[in-house]
Order: sequence, then structure tokens, then C-alpha cells
Amino acid sequence: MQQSISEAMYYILLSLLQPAYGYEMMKGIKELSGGRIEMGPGTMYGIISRMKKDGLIEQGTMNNDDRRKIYLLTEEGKEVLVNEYKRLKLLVKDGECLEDLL
Amino acid sequence: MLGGFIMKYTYKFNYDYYLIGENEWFYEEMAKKGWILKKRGIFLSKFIRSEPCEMSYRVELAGKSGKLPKAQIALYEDCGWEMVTRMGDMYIFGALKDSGAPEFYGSTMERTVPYKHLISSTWKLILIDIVNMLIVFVFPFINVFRRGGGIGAILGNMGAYYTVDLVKSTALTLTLFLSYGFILLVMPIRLYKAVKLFRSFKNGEEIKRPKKKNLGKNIMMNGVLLLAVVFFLLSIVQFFNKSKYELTDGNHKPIISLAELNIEGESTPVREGEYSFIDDRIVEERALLSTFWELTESKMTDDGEVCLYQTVYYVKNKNLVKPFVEALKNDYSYCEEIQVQGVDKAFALNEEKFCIVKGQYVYWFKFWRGGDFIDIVEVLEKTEVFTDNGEYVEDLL
Repeated sequence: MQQSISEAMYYILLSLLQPAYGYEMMKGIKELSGGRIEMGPGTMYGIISRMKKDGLIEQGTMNNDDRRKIYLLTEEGKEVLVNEYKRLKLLVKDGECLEDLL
Repeated sequence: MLGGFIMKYTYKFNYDYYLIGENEWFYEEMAKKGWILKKRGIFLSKFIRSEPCEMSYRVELAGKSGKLPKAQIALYEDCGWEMVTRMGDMYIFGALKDSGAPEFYGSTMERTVPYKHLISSTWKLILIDIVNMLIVFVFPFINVFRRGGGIGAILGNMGAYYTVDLVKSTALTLTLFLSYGFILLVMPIRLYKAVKLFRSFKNGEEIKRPKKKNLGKNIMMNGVLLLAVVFFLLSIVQFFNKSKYELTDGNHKPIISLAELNIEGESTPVREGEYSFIDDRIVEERALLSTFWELTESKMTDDGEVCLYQTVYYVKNKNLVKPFVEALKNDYSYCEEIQVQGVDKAFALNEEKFCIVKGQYVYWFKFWRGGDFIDIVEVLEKTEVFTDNGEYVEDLL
């Protein structure tokens, strides 16, 4: 069974459904989370580096700019994202009984 | 002058590089006073004159890799930060306070990694320093243990050992002491502070900013390091500033030639064969506290080969002659003092190895295969030794 991933990792993978630059990812995450998650560039870069090592994302360059990297989801990354989504859906389903408490 | 704007710079002492809060606060305070950070060196930061403004500075440490990836810097720049300067693995970014540039990290817990590296590298440096010191300081100890003696003898011997070095290689000896001193005094302080920062970051505590400038300790630490660097450079100058000349060049004073001792014969070059590590030219070296000459000369006489090694020191400060001679005597503590007319002091290990002092000149001789102590004394008796001022100073001992 796949281990759960952190919230930050989940949003990073989610923001990469379309290839994006780091700064675009930051903005995308803020938008996706409705402003709830604002990731600093240091935090973001640290997580991206770890995920690259784990083979969840890969990087490339565009327009001959070797400083700015464009990031893409790998097949493994997509799989991890989808599995995490399924897991979260299950969690929510299992907790539906809590609706009455809201 | 650029468009009516006069460029002006100022330099200020830095906080140690890993003190993130202090550095950020310091550069922001300088910006408020109209000095914008331009460059940072080991000791000083360079600022350029500007209108007083509200700036934010953020320090990022690269840690083990020593370098921030270009992509990371580009990401910070896309977020509104500008990389102002870099020194080693320390990167400084700046942005106007109201620019909306986001904080690098959501929590200080994410900043612990470079501190882990800093702590382990500081430990390593301290350990290497201790091992180095043991190697360097073990020689005087070995000497004393070989002869037998207590703590007093060890300390006396160490004092003597380093007094000789201080007179002979002033700059290098001071570099050594200042470097060891710097590492042994400063590194534990750095270690303590780094561990403290690491723990506070691990607990997610905010980066503390100082309330007022307190650079006293840093200036003192940097001052020690700066002095060590200056003396190191001076020792390089001394090393490369050696003069070498042939004995036959004529003016070989204060070196005593075998010819002056009436030892005649064909010169046998000591560069080859048994004494190949020795230069057979006079080597003159100028240290801060002394000038000294070294020569190994050998001749093939009718009775066989005679070889004389000598070092002559001219001690520049007459007050140093006595401690230097005492140190030399202690350094070769098998030496017995001997009474000789015509010189100020003489002591000998045996008939072949001896030291003679006359005025501010200290002669150390070592004969191999032949040669006579008395001959040397006779020459030195007649030798007039002068100081730079042309006066011969007696009774220094």
C-alpha cells in the first residue's frame, strides 16, 4: 500500500497536471487551495528537490533559459497523485457520519 | 559622478555569516540610514550610498553543497527577491519591504539542514586543529621527555622552542599561534551558537533579531583572523624574499668561511651526495625580529673533508638578545656554558657543536669531520660586530 504524502506534496503534484515553472506552481497552489496554502520559494524548492529524487517529477528547460526550470509529472508521480486522491476520497467517505456534527 | 549623483561607499564589519537574524537586521538598519548592501567579504561588507529606504534582506545558507542551485535562485528572483551578494555558501537576497516578496520558508523548522552541516564541519575543524596542535607541540615535549623533567621543564622547553621560532620566523610563528588561537577560541563559540540556533529552529522558534548593534565580539574575532592572514602573507614574503649568494662573492659577513679558519682545500659541493638537502650558498633571510644567514661549506683538505654548518642571527631588538640566547641554550639543553675571552657568551654541546654570542649577533656552528672551536673563537674575537646604528652593544646578556 502506498504511503500517504504530505499536503504540500499533494498540491505540488496537483499543480503539475500541466507542466509549470516554480513560480507558476506557487501561484497555482495558492489558487487551487483558495488562498489557504501559500508556499514560500525555499519550502517549494526543497520539496521539489526531494520529489525529483523520488522520481515523482522531472525537470526540463525551455527557451534556452537554463536557470528557470520547467517541471513535469512523471508516470509514477501521476500514479501517486491519483492514489492519494482515491485515499482522501475514501477518508472523506468514511467520515461522512460526521456531517451531522457540522 | 553619474547624472549628478556622487557615488559613495562605506565598509562595515560583518556579523558571522551563519547568524541569519543579526545579518538581516544589520543590512536592513543600514538601508534605513541610506546605505545599501553591495558586497560582502569575510570581514567587511561594502555599502553604496542611496536614499534611506525600507528594505528586507534574507540570508540563505547553501550548506553542504556550498552552492545554491541556479534554479533556486531564479525562483527567488521570480518571487521578487534580488540576489545581492554571495560569500561562500552564504547568499544574501534583498527586496523592498513593500514589494510583496514572500518569505522563503513557512517555518524555521525548514532551515535546520545547513546548520546540521555547519555543526559537523565546525566539530571537524576543531578536531583537526587539536590534532595539528598536538603534532606541532609534541616536539618540545618529546625533547623534554627524552631528557626527563617535570611540568616546569616542559613549559620552559616549549617557551624556548617557540622563542627561537619567533625570532627566526616571526610572521609564520605568529600566524600559527593566531590561527590556533582563532580556531580554538572562535570555533567553540561558533559551535555553541550554531547548536543554539539549530535547536531553536528545530522547535520552530522565530529568527531572533537583535535590538541594537553589538559587533564587538565579531570585530575581535575577525581582528584575530585578519592579523593571522596579514602575518601569513608576511611569512610568504619572507619565504620568497630569501637572498642567496656564493661565498666567493666577497661580502659574506657575518658568515665565517673555512678560509678564515685557515682551512684550505678544494671546495666539495654539498649539494651532491650526503648533504644534498643543503644549499651550499649563503642563504640570507629577513624576519621581522631578526636577519639570519645560513651556510654549509665543505672542503677537501690534506687531512680529509671538513664541513661546517653555521647559522648567524642578527637580533634586531637588543632586548631580545638575552631571551633568545637563553631559548637557544634551552633548546639545545645539553649545552654547557664556557668562558671565552673576546666574546659575550659561548656554550657548547661538544667541540663540534657550539654557540657564540657577540653583541646582537648569535652564531651557531656545527662541524663535521674536523674543525676546531678555538679557531672560530679566534676569528670572532677579532670580528667587530655592529648594529645598524654602527654601535656595538655589549653586556646584553
